Amino acid sequence: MDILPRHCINIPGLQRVGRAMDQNLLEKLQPIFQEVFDDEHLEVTPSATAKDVDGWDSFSHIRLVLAVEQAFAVKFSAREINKLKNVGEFVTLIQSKL
Amino acid sequence: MTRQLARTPGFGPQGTKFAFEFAIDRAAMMAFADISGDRHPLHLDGGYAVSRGYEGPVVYGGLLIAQVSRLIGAEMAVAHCVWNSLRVDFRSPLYQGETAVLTAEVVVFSEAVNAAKLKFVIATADRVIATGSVDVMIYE
Repeated sequence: MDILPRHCINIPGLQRVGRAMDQNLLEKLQPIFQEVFDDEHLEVTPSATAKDVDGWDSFSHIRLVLAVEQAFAVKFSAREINKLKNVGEFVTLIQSKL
Repeated sequence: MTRQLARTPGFGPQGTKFAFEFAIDRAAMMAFADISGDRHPLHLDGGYAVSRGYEGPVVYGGLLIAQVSRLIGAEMAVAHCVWNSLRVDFRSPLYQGETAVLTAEVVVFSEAVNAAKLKFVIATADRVIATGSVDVMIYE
């Protein structure tokens, strides 16, 4: 998973910067997931999907998107949201809008 | 008693505001007691409420939430709207017959999931009664 333009991917150090940014963003997402899914011990990983999180149904999915849009002051399209496969892709999408 | 104070035509984006005035009368209190089964004297017996340090019968929290239902079902100009989540903090009592105003603002509107988060405040002229937020799904 790269958040950098393709022409940058071979520049030493830049991929590490991208991964660090993703990790930092994932950490900021954790309390949002915990609140939406009402589980203070929940820790999502980049590979996590809706099947891995108890209660991640269509209603909670809407609450999650609203909470993330509010927390990060970003906007998503339905197409962007519908094609996400896991939390990692969500992190990348958010990062691309910051 | 209800009176509409302000309304933005159509359901707009973030920043759209709503406001309406209401008061809960004795009949509504009795109806809610029947519906809920909650007949605590704090809500129904003025003498008891005063003896406990209140100014009169305290309006049921459920009737305040009913005003949020009105916001979603009647004040927002959308064809179909369903609430998905509700958070409310009760700050001070509202008394039977006392006029209050519910104001609300769309703080997030997501086109991705066609849903919105509204924050609301219920207040009288001199105090905040309740604050909260509600997530709603919108079906046009």
